[in-house]
Amino acid sequence: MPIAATLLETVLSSLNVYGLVYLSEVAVLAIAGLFGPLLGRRAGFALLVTALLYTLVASILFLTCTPRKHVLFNGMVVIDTYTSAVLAFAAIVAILDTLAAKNVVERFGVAEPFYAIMALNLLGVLSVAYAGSEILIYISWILAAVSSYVIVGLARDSIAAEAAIKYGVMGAFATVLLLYALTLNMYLTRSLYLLPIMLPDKLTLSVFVFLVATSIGFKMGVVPFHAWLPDVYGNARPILVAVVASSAKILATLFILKLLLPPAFTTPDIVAPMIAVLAAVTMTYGNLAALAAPTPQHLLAYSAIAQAGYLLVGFAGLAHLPVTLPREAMAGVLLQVVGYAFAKSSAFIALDYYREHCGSSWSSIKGAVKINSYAALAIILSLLTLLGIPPSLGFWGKLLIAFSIVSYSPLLVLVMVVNIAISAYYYMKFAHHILFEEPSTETRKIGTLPSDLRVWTALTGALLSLILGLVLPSYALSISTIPLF
Amino acid sequence: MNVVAAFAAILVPYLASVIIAFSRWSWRSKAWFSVFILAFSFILSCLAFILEGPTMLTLHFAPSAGVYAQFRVDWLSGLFGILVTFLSLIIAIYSIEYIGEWGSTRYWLFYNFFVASMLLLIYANDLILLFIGWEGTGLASFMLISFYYDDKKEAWVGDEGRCVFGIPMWSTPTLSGLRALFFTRFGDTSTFLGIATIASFSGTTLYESIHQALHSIPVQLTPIFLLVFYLGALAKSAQFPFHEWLVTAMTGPAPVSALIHAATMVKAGVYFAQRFTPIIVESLKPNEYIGPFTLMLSLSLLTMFALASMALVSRELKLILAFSTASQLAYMLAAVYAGALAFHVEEGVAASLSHLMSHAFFKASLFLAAGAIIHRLHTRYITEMGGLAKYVRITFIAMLFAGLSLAGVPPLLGWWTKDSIVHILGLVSPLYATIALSTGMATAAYTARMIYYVFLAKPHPQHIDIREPPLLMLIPYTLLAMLTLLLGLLWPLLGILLYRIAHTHFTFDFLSLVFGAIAALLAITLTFLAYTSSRWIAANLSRLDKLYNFLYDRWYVNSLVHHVAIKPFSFLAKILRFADSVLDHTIHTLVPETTSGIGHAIRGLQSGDLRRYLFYFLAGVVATATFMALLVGG
Repeated sequence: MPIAATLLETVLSSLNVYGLVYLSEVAVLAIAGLFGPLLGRRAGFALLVTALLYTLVASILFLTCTPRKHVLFNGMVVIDTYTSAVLAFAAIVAILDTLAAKNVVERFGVAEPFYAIMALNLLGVLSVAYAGSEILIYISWILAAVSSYVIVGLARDSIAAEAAIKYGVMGAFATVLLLYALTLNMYLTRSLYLLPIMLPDKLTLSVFVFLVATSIGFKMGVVPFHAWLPDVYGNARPILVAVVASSAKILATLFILKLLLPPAFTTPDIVAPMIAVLAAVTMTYGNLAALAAPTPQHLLAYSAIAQAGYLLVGFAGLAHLPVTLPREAMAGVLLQVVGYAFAKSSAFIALDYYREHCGSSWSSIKGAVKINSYAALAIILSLLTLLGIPPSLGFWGKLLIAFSIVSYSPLLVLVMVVNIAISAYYYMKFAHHILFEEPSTETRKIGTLPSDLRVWTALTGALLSLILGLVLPSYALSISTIPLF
Repeated sequence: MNVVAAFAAILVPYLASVIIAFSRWSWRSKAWFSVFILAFSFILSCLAFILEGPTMLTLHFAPSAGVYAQFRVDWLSGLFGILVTFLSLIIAIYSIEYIGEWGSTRYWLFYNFFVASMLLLIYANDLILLFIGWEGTGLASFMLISFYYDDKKEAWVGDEGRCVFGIPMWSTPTLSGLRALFFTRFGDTSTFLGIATIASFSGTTLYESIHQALHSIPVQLTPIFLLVFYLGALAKSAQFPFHEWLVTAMTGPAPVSALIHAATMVKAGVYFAQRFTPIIVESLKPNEYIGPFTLMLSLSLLTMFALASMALVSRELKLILAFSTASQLAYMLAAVYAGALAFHVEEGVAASLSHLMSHAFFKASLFLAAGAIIHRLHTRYITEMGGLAKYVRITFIAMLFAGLSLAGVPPLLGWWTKDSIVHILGLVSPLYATIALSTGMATAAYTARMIYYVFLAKPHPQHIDIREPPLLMLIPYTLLAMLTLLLGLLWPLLGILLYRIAHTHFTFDFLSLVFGAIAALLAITLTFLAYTSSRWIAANLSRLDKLYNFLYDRWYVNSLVHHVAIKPFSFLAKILRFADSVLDHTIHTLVPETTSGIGHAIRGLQSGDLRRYLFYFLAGVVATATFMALLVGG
């Protein structure tokens, strides 16, 4: 009873506008996730869209308000501008993905679970974005992880089942490691909250860093914890991968910001080299493997690994704050992850359109521009963002990341630049296949197909990743001035 | 002065060229649309000169990187802008019928693009902006010289099969376009180097910064800098030995030759000199600039004389006019240099600008008329024309007036303006004035020869049925010819006005005016006498065979350029191509093969076996843990 009373008191003491908005966000998403499936297909969709839009509006509200950081519920929840921005873009990507997948999941008869899972997935993102305590971190991990396994398995065929099983088994492994990490963090901070580390016990700290790196590395697809990724991203239904791929990177980014930055401030000499090595290995591996990708979808899968590597470079920059530029690193990570989310989900959505009509092999994608030029445009714009052509978000993200870390490790920047150069080859090969190759006879028989919702959402996402590059960089720099805790 | 109108005058033709590129209108609509646009641009540039308002406009492109775009209207750019838009309007009207349907989109696209780039060059107050306009005009020039990309024989320049020292002396439109591009680009690169020097010494490329940069450049380097900076202008204005490109540029359509290669673009170099010479004179001590300016003045005098001498023997109508253009450009440049050397730089610039204007009128008129004749007769050679005066009376009169203006016969405009240049040259040295005067005689002689061959000589039997061209072609050049007469009559008034705007005063130098008139008339009379008593010609020309060939083959400069500049470079190119193929074969086989080999090896790890994946995961965990241990331990 006294515990309940204390809890109630805590809640009531934080019931200002921010607290109310936060609670209502959680409530709306939870309602869409828990009750949506009971109300049927249409109501589920309506509830989900409402919840996503509400989350978007609420995060924009948090973005516009000052001061830039609010501590609620005794520090359980911390609302700050930077993570609000990440959350806002996560909501936009989720809206695009939902619209794109609507017809597909309804045809499969899995619309209700899909809508519910989308809401729960975003609830996971929301929890970690504003998490001030380890409990919320863990809840968010479970929400996000389980929902991704379900999404991958939604297609309900043997391929989907295999992908989901692989994802789930490896995920369970990672979850155990994360639990260990959280336990160690409790020891290090002497509390349940995400606080700066008081006891610089080097051994415990390094074990903690190692555990976080492995578990979240799994989520992002960092080499050598990536083995599930090519199979899941490469074989599952692309439109479902679009959801998983974008939300996994956003989640992992938030996890790293929350969990790895505190130790980075205390012992940068452990965290930074560790992440730098993982970054170099990851991007090189991803890019080299993408060169030999057996299908276009596998190419996108390996490119997801390579992009995780670029993000890690940004984290290495953040981990060595005295030397590197914190503002540029923070903004670079934000731009890179948002650009990635838009471009990757657009590419997967447009690929889903092609895969449905003409198959998933390299030869079937040849001359795909003749089948539907808007879908082709969406893929090509996405590839340009992933490659980092100005003025796309991908360009600014990579530029700022490289800029922030160049004084700490010029070698890592060199590796990154060489890797981007390698990636140009396979991205452009993909674009060349779509644009200039002669279509196969089967493709030619298909003729021109009308655009559906997938094509338009993919095009919107791809255009956003390109156009936002004109406005977002300066804004990202302006909100990246404060450390997160 | 109002810079907003000037800015609009630049934008409108640029927009028009984009619209034309994507439009699907008929060729007539495109042509009339362009005429309308150019008329609008003409009005705007007039407004820019007349209206009160701001004279400076600064657009901030990337302020943090120091990139601005600054435009400015002053008397020089204002007048030049009006001249350019007026002539482009008149010549556009002529082009409607001349160009017709074939290639009309290309023609009007680059015509508008050219006018816009030229205006950008004129109204810029920033070296980079000037350079962008400069290159834009170069691009348009290249595109329009090779307008007849089917290389039809009628558009060729030079006699097919004629070689000197193994180098062909004739040129096709496509070849000429490339030549123009390479010749002018050579100078442009040098000027760009000069701009970079200014930028590195002063931090910006605004015109105001040149002053500061000149102070910072080490004194012993100043002459070299000046030569490097002016080389682009020399190449653009076809000064010796760069004149070759302008000669072969005559493969373009006649209105292009009239607008770009006589009236406006080639004057960009002169404008460059007019714009920057006063700044340089103001910033430097005389002993720092006397050397380079004397050198460039000598080059101009050489060009003046050499090109006029080539015009004396040329058989192609447009070539005569091209030689004459280069020679007259040399007059204008010489006036600026001489002004600087005589410490009367404003007067030099004013004399140069007034000759620039008068030359633009009469030379455009001559080119347009020549184009009309060539168009009708389907021959480029004046020796195949003859006796046309009877059939095309108005064209004859127009060409006569324009020609007499070129020859410097009073009271036409050319007489006034050329002799004020002679006057300026006389201030520096009587020798220079003498050279200019004798070149003036040569000018009068080749003009008389041209008029004689085309209109007065024995008629060619094939061409009896020639008629006047359509009105849309006839009016423009007649109007321009009449203008040279009218402006000539009014020059005592207008000249004073122009010089006052240029912050200097007009000097009536009776000596040079009278001498100029006598020299021109004498040369014309002698030429006519020589040609009408053709026995004298026949008896004497064969004796001058060597000289004739030397002049006819353009002082062998073409062959010289080929042997001295092009041959070594093409040898270098061969070496580089070999080196490149070696690199190509190693890099483009070795690197991709290795990379894709590694890629396939990595792909092999992805077996799809979950147990194996778990093993990888564990192995990865162990590896990371080991690495961490090393980090902590070390």
